[in-house]
Parts: sequence; structure tokens; C-alpha cells
Amino acid sequence: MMQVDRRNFVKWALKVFASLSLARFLGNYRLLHAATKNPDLVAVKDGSPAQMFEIGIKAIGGMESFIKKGQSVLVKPNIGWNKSPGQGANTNPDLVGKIVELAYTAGASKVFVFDHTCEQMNECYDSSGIKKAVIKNKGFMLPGDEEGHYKKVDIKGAKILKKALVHKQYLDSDVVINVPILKHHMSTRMTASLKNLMGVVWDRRIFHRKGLHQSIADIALVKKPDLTVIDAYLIMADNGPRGLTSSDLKLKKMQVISTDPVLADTAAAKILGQTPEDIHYLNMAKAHGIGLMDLKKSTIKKISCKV
Amino acid sequence: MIKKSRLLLQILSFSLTLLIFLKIVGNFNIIKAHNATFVLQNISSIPTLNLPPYLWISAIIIFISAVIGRAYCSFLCPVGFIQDLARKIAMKIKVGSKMPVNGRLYLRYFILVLCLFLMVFKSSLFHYFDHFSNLGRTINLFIMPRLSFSSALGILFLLIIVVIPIYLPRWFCNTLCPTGTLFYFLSKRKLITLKVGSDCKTCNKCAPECPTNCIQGGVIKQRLCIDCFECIQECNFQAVKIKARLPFQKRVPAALPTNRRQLLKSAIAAPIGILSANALERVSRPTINPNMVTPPGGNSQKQFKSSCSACQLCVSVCPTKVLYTTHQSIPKMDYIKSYCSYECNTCLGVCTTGALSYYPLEHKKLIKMGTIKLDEKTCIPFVKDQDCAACAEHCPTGAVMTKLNKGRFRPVIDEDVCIGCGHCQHVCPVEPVRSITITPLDTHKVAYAPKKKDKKAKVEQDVDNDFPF
Repeated sequence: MMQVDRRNFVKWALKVFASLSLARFLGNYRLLHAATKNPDLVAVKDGSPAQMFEIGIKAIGGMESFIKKGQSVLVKPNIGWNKSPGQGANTNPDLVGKIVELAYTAGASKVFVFDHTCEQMNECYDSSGIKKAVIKNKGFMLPGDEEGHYKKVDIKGAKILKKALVHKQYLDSDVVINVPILKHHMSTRMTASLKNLMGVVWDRRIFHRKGLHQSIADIALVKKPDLTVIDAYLIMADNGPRGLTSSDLKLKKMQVISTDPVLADTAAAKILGQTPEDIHYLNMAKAHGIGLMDLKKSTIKKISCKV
Repeated sequence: MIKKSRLLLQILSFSLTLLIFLKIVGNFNIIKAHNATFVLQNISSIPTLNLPPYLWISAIIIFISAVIGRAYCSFLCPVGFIQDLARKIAMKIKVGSKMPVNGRLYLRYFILVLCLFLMVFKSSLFHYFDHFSNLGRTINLFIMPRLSFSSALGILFLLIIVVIPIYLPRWFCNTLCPTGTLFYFLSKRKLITLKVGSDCKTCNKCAPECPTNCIQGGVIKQRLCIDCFECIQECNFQAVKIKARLPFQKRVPAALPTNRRQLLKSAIAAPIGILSANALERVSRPTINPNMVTPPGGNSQKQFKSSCSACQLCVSVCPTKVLYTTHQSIPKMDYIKSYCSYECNTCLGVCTTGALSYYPLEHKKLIKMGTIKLDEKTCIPFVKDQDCAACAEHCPTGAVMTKLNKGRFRPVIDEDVCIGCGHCQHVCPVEPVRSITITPLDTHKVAYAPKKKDKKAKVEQDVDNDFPF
């Protein structure tokens, strides 16, 4: 038993102080070092969706480098279908919840989540589990099922979709984080980050009428999402975007995080087993100057969560 | 005591109905038990042999009305509650007549007989008189306001139960309501009767409090009384008393027509009755509309139309609002406005009459209401040579898939797995006539389940799981 006299106490206290300050210094140094050299794309694998995001966002510079204090944040997941999280049709709810939580820790004033769903809105919000996860983390679920929530905008540089009704919160938010799930698509071959932006537009039938690929590339000109997180944990490899049976799904346990939506989609296409050049809207988005498609020239950081 | 418990029960009953219409209460058993309290709706399901659950609740209500009288009307009926409320508010703000006299009641016998006849002919036209169908139409008016014959009936009923009671309390219950008349007939030889004794000072204190105004000057008009027992509490001299009667007491049998005049009357009445019944049968035969998609669980259009009591409950609770009211106020599916949700069997679980039979969700997913038809002459991938496949994206069963054909993904249809939910028709971008449409089936069939590629039930991780870049 150590005797607690004055001398011993002072020695002990000094040791604790010294180690704490050293740790703090080291930690700061590491953060500073990382911030100077952020990779273009971070690919994480073999963890849970929320865990992979926590590790991945640190590797790309931390949530603080995207969200300044007091900014409003929009998280745009894919909540298109009235399906449960295990059916791989909507973004993982834990991931969305984690992003909302980390956005608040980074100093966001308000975090909003919405999607213009393909099926009835309330059913999709409930059965996807996303509404529960967002409300648990004090985020705000916004409706997107009425024309009144949308505002007409002119799209500069668009080829065919010169005007569109875009959700007001998408236009007003300071920071937009696009969180799609990686899925096969029956007509565009793949749906990931650029295709997920169809969920901020009111009239989507016009996309199909005018030309689906070009419209998808055009709508990305409205606003470039600040961060793209592609959920490739449970991917739909066939019969997408809705999926018919469990045999359409594949467990990949991956996640792609990037500031460049086109680059993220290119990497996602490879994970899905598609040739990125075959996906027309990616080439068109590249032609618009939204992002790059060259994975070899960009810096990629690959992380495995397996110990 | 009686007054307070009656008010409480009425409020509970009315708010339950309202909460079910507003989708706040969604429990299958609660809804079906609530529906069983509307006796006429449940009786109507007996000739069609499409019986809803909880029929024993209806049986209990019928038994109660035979023993202690029209307790349902006074304690549970939500329509009665609204009328009582309107009357009470009118008395508070001093409008309306204080001593109204309810007039002739012959109409109600006619309506009851008409309704029972219609039920025997498996027709649901009794819904024009039934209190629940009318209440449903009125509530639906506030949930989904739109201009139609059904909402006109809803407005009319609202006037009947809100404005008329100010002058004639419970006029609907004692003049039109077939359920009320049925209970009146059943309660004619009830065991408990209210009687005014000789202590009555004819002070008429009870008269304004009586919900039907059947007690005036110390006399109770039994044909109007709904057995709420409030006058017992109201009387200062305990003059109103309950008089019990033993069951199985001997009664004088009704005399058969003996004189010539009566015989002649019956001889004329019988053929008129037979002829009018024949005419009624023709009126009640449902018209078959080949363009109408029958809601899931309706089995066939004829069966659905002949047992739907048009209460608008399914229309009110439908999450996608694909059900809407037609001119005969019987619901119909509109695939231009919306689509039938694959993961939903809400409407099947709320039906009062069994017009929509209940199926569990796995079974409902295989009910084939219509079949798919693709018009390649207008379809975008065939005409404009563009990618589209909005239909294939949204199809829940794989009835529309895409196939790579000359460099484009073009839709391919499979009628076997199509259930006719209309999602493809709803999203098809071609206007004004959609390229992909649902042709309704007159009688529902069972569709094949969506095809599985392999029988692997569990999703497993690949062995070699590395980034391909």
C-alpha cells in the first residue's frame, strides 16, 4: 500500500499532467498532418456501416473539415422503397444515424434528412428504419411528397434538363452529404451517388421522357454534394433498384467515401462488377466537369477494419 | 350516474370510430371488434356467406336489445352521440324547440323491410340508410374532400344529424335508421320497461333532458324511447320506475284476418309485395364495369359490389390513396393517381361487411387483380431508342424486367407473376395514354410468386473480398 503523503501526491500529479499533455500534443500533430494530405477517395471494408464511416471520415479529414460551426446539414439517403433494412433496397439506417450524430458533434446547427420516395413516403420512412435512427440522433425528417416542398430552378450548363423542381432544403442547406446505397439498376446498370440525386427532384417522369442518362448528369449541376458516402455493405447485385428476392443481394461489407461523386460512382461500379465506362451518365457527368473517372491517377486510401 | 356513464361510453365509442378512420388505431382485432358493433353491416354478410370475425359481438348487442331494449342506440351509437351533442349545445345556447313533437314513424318500418329485402337479394344498397355507412361518408368528407355523389350524401347526412336534432331530437334514429327500427322491433317484448307511477306531478322536468323527447306530461311513448334511463335520475319524486317482466310469459296470439275486408286487403298486398320484390332484385343487381379494378380481397367485381356497404373506411385508411369513391360511392382503384402498395393489406383488415375478405400479407401479395399489357408502339425504349424502364424499376414482382436488346434495356413482361398493382402504369412517363397498363380481371386469380434465381436463402460474404481497384 502506497502512502499518500504530499511528496508522493505531487509526483503522481506531475506524471499524470505530463502524460496527458503529451498525448494531446501527439493527437493534435496527427490531425494536422492528416489534414494537409487528404486522399481523393477512402475505401473501407470489413466493418459495420457505422463503424466504417467513423474510421473512413477520419481518413478523409474528419467531419470538421466539411461542417463549420452553425451550418445546416442535409443528409440525403436512399429511402426509395417500402422495404426493411435487411432487404438491401434503402441506405443502412445505422449509417444514416451515425452521420447525423457526427454532424452534430462537428457543430452543425440542424441536420435534415429527406428523400422523394418511390413508394408512399410514410411507409418508406418507417420500414427503412431511417426515420427512427434520425429522430434518435435528434435529426429532422422532412417530407418530400408534395409539390409545394419543391422550387423551380434553372440549371446552368444543362443539356436537356434546363429547368427542374428541386427540393427547397437541398438548395438551402449549407452542407449536403449524399448517402446512397449501391444497387444494380435495370436501365442505367447502376444506382449510386449521382442516381440518388434524382430523389431531390419532384417530377422524375420527365427524366425518362427526355433521356434518363443526360438528365441524371444535368441534375448534378444544380449543386455538387460536399461529401458522398456510398453504402456498399449489403449490395443489390441484380434486379435492382427494387430487388425481387434475397438471391439478388451480396454482402460486400464495404464503404466508399469521397468528395467527388463521379469518382465515388466509378469505384462503386467496380465493386458492383460493372464497367464504369458502360454507365453513360458517368461519362456525361465527367463531360460536365462534375468529377473525374480515373481511379489510377487519384489518391485512394484503402482501410480494412479487420484486426 | 347513468348520465355520466352514458356520456363516457358514447365519447369512447365515437372517438374509437374517429381514430380508426384517422389511421391512429390500426390494430386488426380492435378494428374488427369495433366493426362488429354495427349490427346491420354484419347481418348483411350472412346471405353472402362472407362472414367477418367477431360476429358474437353483434349477437350480444342483439341479445341485449331483446332483453333491456335499445341500449346500443343510447349508450354506444356514435351517430346518436353526435345528435345528442347537437341537441345539448342547442339547448345551452337556447335555440331550437324546447318541447318538440316527433311525428309519424311509418317510414321507418318501410325502410327496415326494404333494407332486409335488399340484404336477402345480396345487395348492399341498404347503405343509403345505414347509419355507419353514412357516418363513414361524412367522416371521409373531412379526410379527403372531393366533389362526388358520395360527398353530397355525406353533407346531407351531416345536416340530418347536426341540424335536425335542434328541432327534432334523434329524428334520424326514430324515422330513418334501419338499425334503430330493428332494435325497436326486437325490444318490443323486452324484460325491463320504464313506467311512470302515480307519484308523477307532471312537472315536465324530465322532458327537455330526454334525448328523444319521448317523455312528456308523465307519459312515455314506448315507440320512441331508446332506453337510456336518464329520466329515473332526473325525476325529483322517484315517479319513473323500472318495471321488470318475467320471460316466457303467455301472450295473446295475433288474430288472423277473419273478415272479408281484411282478407281482400291481404290478397291485394301479397302480389304487390311479390312484384315489388322482383323489381327490387333487378335494381340491386350490380352493374359490371370492365374497366374497374376490384380492390384486393374483393374476389370478383360482382361479389365486391354486392356486399360493399360504401362506408369509405378502406378509402380513408388506404396509405397510397389509390382507392377512391365512385358515383355509387363504392370504392375503385385509380392507377393514374396512385398504385396499390405491395407491402400493405390495410383495406382487407378494416372491411365491415366482408366485401374485402381478409388475407394475410403473404397471401395478399399473390392476389392477381389485373394483368399487364405493354404497348410497344408508344413505349420510349422502342420508339425513341432511349433508356427508360421506369416500369421495371418499380415492379415489385418482376412482371416487368429489362433485357438488353440492340444496345438498349427494353422492357419484357411476364403475365404469370403480375398481380396488377398498377405501379408500372402509375410511373410510366408516356402521356396521355400510358404505354404499360393494367387490364382488370373480372375474377381475381392467384399469381405465381416472384422467381428466385437460386434457392440460396442466406446472403453470404464472398471469400475473396478485396477492393477491385
